Amino acid sequence: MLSFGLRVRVVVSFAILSLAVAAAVSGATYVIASWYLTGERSDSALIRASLDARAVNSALAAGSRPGEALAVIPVVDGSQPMLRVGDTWFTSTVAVPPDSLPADLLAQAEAEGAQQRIEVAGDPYLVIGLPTQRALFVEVFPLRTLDRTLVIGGWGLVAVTVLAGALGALLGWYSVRRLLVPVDQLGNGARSLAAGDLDVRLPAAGDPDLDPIASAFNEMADSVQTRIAREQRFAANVSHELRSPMTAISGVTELLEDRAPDMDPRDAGIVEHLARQVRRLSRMLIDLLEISRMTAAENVEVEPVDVARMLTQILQQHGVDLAIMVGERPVVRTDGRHLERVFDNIVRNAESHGAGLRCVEILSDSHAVTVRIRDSGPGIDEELAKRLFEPFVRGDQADPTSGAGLGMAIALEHAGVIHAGLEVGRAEEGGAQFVVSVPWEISA
Amino acid sequence: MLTVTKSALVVEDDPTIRMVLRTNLENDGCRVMEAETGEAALVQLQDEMPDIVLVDLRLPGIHGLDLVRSLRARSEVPIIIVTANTDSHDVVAGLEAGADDYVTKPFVTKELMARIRRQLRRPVSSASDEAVLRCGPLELRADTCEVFRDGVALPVSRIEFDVLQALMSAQGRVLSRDYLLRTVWGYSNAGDGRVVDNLIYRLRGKIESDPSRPDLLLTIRGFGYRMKA
Repeated sequence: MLSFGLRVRVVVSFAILSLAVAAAVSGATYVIASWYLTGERSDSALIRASLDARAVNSALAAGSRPGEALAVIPVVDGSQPMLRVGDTWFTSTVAVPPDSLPADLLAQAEAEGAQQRIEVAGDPYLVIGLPTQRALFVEVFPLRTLDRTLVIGGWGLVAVTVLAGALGALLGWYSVRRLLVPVDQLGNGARSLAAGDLDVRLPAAGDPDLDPIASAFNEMADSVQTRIAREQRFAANVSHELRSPMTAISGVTELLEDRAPDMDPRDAGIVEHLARQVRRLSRMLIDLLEISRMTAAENVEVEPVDVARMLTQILQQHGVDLAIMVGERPVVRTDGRHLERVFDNIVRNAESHGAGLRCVEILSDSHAVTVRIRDSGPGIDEELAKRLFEPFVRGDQADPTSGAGLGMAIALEHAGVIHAGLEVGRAEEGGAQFVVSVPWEISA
Repeated sequence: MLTVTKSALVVEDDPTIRMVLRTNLENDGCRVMEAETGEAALVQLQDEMPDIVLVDLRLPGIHGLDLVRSLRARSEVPIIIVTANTDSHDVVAGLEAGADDYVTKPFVTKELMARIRRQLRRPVSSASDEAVLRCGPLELRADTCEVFRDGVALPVSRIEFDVLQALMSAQGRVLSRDYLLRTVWGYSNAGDGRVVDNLIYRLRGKIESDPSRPDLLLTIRGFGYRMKA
């Protein structure tokens, strides 16, 4: 079933309603006007015909011949008087030939007088027949002017009706637009809120029926903002409270590790296990804190960044010996700190889960600089690819002690801040392929 | 290993972290003083000025930032901030207060020790180093670690001297913040460029006649810094 929006429904209803009212009024006007004009025309024609008939009769009585008798009647508005004496017709003009008059009309006219509307050669006429003492008097009045007046008036009324419908639609559109302004504002506000602008509030329009919507939205935004602020404060406090003991534990563990060579081999083994788990926990904590901090509004400092140079340095830091495939070295204007975290996490992931990097390629077109990073791992199935950027998601084959599965989530957060795209898929030659597309320029 | 015994002051309220830092510094041949609070640190500093100070920002009593500020007001001693707070404005506030570097908890001890050594090390004058570098009214003497402007000695810290030496040796070439972090601060991986920016800001306050309109130490936006050729 088709469903139309409120806007369309209101506009169509207004249009139909005003069209119906206008049509009813116009129709009634037409019928009344037509009835009145036709009646008046036929009344005046009858009076004319009676006077003319009497004049002709008097002329005939005075001994005039029928042709002379007809000549005394003035021709007004193309009216055509005719006389039938015996079987012979006399007429001054021949617009309507006597043989085109209906026989039943003539018969009735002869008996008591009659009038009828006829058409001759496409033109309408009113025929009035009156019996006189010596002859049958017939006068034909053209109705063409009257008909044309009615047709023109009729079309005028149709035009008025259509115009009224259009005006109704316009009125409907205008009022629905006024009605929908707060609804549109609500939609835009909700979208901004969803996009992370927690400061968005709707202005009161001063309309007692519509303002409750705005204030309800504002209350909701307030409550969301308060809750998020509380959670961020909580995360920041947890962050600080965990950092100090974590520092103490890893510091002590590192001291123990330094002493491990002098220990009983079994004790040294225990220390090694401890150290590995402490490092893992520490890494996880750092990642977790980074990702929780990212949800707060990040400030962006735009500067020119040589993408190839940045990647080379990151590869060096991870001890990867791999040449980057690049044509002309692209320099983008972005926030280098965030971009670096994107690349760093992808490279870290490839090194720990993807059996090492296979290929880093930089391509550029008019929209963006695209970096393709491929690893030599088992690749990635579609199911995992969809969820890889969620926190704590790891592949089935990932080493359970290697990390918390936060790296890719962190990379995605950083990419979002600088409006960079980040996707993962299967490379043609197997292995996973990460595609980062960095816009040439972002506004700070 | 440091050849000459250096002294370090550790201002930290967590006893375990103090112990870890003390042990590591002592393993490196440092003499370690400890303070649990900023107030205690200020008392100790009256008796003896150490060669380096490590300050935790969140301390009971006076805040670490205030300690850094009052310490910087009277000495060019290298200060490294050790903080659990990685919020940008905290780090910036620490650097603006006069710290030379910062590490965030949890830190890797080896990384911190490398930073400390870098701040403590004596100037290494190799044969290739020119004994005296000049740039406009500035004169830098590598052998004595002194900087003069129009013949007047300027008080510069160890790290400020190193940065100035690197920039003057480059003879007008641009040095990126990354390069300075690696060569001067001894960062092994990418660091925070604001550490450099803040030091440059402080350095300008000393060498420029009008620090707000520098004409010796120039910023090349987005790339780094260079000296006037």
